[in-house]
Amino acid sequence: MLGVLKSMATTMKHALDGNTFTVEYPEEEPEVSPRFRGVHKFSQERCIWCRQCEKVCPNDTIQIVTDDQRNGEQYNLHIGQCIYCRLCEEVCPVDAIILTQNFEFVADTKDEFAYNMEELKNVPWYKDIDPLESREPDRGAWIGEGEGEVDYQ
Amino acid sequence: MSLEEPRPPTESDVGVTAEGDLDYDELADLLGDHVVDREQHVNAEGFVIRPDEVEAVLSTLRDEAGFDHCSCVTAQEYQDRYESIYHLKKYDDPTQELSVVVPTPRDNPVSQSGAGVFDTAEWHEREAYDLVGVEYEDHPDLRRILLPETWQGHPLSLDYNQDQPQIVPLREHANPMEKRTKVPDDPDTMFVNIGPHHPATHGVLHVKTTLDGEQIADIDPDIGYLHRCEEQMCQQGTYRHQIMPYPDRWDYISAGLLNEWAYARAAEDLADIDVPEYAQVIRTMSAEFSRIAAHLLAVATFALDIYGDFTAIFMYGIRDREVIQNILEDLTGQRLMFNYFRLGGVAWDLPEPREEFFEQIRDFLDEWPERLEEYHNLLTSNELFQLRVVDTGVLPPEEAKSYGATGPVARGSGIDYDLRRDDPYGYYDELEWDVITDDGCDNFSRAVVRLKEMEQSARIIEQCVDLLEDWPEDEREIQSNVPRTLRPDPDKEIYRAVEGAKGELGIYIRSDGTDKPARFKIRSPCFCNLQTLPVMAEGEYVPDMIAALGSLDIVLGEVDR
Repeated sequence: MLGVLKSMATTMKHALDGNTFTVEYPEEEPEVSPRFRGVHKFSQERCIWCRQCEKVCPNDTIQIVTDDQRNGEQYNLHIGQCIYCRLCEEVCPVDAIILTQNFEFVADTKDEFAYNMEELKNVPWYKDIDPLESREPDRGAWIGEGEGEVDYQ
Repeated sequence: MSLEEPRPPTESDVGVTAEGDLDYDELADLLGDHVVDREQHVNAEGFVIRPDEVEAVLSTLRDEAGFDHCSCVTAQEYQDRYESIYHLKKYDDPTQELSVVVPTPRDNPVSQSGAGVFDTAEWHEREAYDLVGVEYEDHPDLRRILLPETWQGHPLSLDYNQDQPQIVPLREHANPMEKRTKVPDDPDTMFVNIGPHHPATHGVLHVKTTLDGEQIADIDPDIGYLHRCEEQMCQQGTYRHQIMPYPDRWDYISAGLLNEWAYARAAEDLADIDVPEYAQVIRTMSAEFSRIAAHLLAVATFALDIYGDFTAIFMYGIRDREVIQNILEDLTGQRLMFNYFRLGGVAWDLPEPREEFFEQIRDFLDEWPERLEEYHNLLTSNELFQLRVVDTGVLPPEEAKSYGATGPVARGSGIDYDLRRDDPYGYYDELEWDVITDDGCDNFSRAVVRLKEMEQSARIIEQCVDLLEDWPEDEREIQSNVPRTLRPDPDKEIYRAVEGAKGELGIYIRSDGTDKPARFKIRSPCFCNLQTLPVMAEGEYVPDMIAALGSLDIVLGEVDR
């Protein structure tokens, strides 16, 4: 009987101490770690079209199309198929593909998750955290880079 | 060190030298003419035997040489033959390993079953039959286990056509209830399907139950609803990068780092990769966090099964797990699918600022004894809980060994078996901690073992944090130099296991000289532990069967792979 009372006292303590652990999402945005892996962002200024990300991707989420001069034409990434392992970012020699902290994305059909290069470039930063700065501080951050007119080739 | 010394070899064990190593020549002498050939695997020697002498060889090895643990059965197809490998070990000293290799011709892949010697071989052989296509003679119940009964072909065999559509004719669905509800020759029994869509089965597990009154007369777990071809996916990935994200998805209850370690250990030993000490400490620490998180969910859902109360203990468990997940998120960048280990180390050093990260861990550790005390108050010292679980779901140690049970299930049956101590890897042998066992053999002792193991894991984490805090700054090497493309030498075979959250998680890899494994086999602890369910549940009431299932702590993602 004593054990039952002790058990009830424990639940009672938690019921009365008034502490809540949960946050009221979406009114309150959760804290996301700087290393968190969310939707990808692509930088055409940086990409050298070496196709290493395409090669390393474990489930063929990335498709790259280049012309016969090896100039990049398309960069497609299906963010609904992606397993968010961050290997593409890890092998990229120029940090052209980066996983932002952005975890909020919805679509009506799964096809809308097949992002092309423009959509990938327009993925917003999450709370203005630059993932590169927090993950690899010795490499240059690229938040804010490429805004305005840029000559791509 | 508080770790116990391995038991000195007794006279009953043939083939053990005075130093406790295996003497393969003596073992070969013991088997005499049964041994046709001998192979060298990375972890152990392999004795090649004739396919019609499997039972004789296995029972000799078990009874006279002391190999009482059939860890895994791997089947594979070569260009010229099929092959089943029985990976034998000893519960007393798992470093003493022996592979029994049974080749069978391609045109007639029939091999004698080992299920008469080791009960655990029953399911393993069914899986081998299902996926690879080896047939086992004298097997008590040789039918498909992971794939549906109507499946055509064996997906891991070489000539399997992956594009062939699987057509199920209508007659297979004629009246699915007709056969199922009828129990022959016994009008007093009733057939009940438990699952596959029921929260108490912890996933998509289907338990075919025959009830006699309220008691269970016969029980047959039906698995395979969550089969995702994990072995095949690993066979299609490169060693260096592409396999590592997938172990997280076998046992997806935040035990990801422990699973990753299983692959990392097997592949590192296969390719002779060293891991820096600093990385080993980080691995040990983060893996123990994973273990706490996994055990917390196990205990929380067990309490949910017992009390049926969603708001108290289950939510407390989830809340504490949240703290761990936050720590792991800061470290690995993800909350469940970590992909943090790399061959030869880990992906990242500890997050900056380090002091803040350590403080976060210390806060958790400071709070932890109090939280554990609460779980003990709510569960183990509560008479209502005791009434429900003491002396129900009894699993005697002999049965547990025969079924290849490991992890908290085995330790709850008094089997002193923990690979972290018995087959040390990582940094475990440098740290002070105890292996928890309990002789109760019932649902209660399995829950107690998990609760106490969390305490030990916290001890390990504390020591790791102490080490990491004082680690000299210029020796923080997180990855050794590993070539970008790994091509282990052809025809190297290895079977390596680590202590996962649910038990012995083993990986068998055979290399063929390319950058992808030729055969990748996962020995899932849940798969073996689940086999013990009939032992625990038959003769019990249905609620006690649910309790036994909860105390087994299965994750269907790992059972079905």
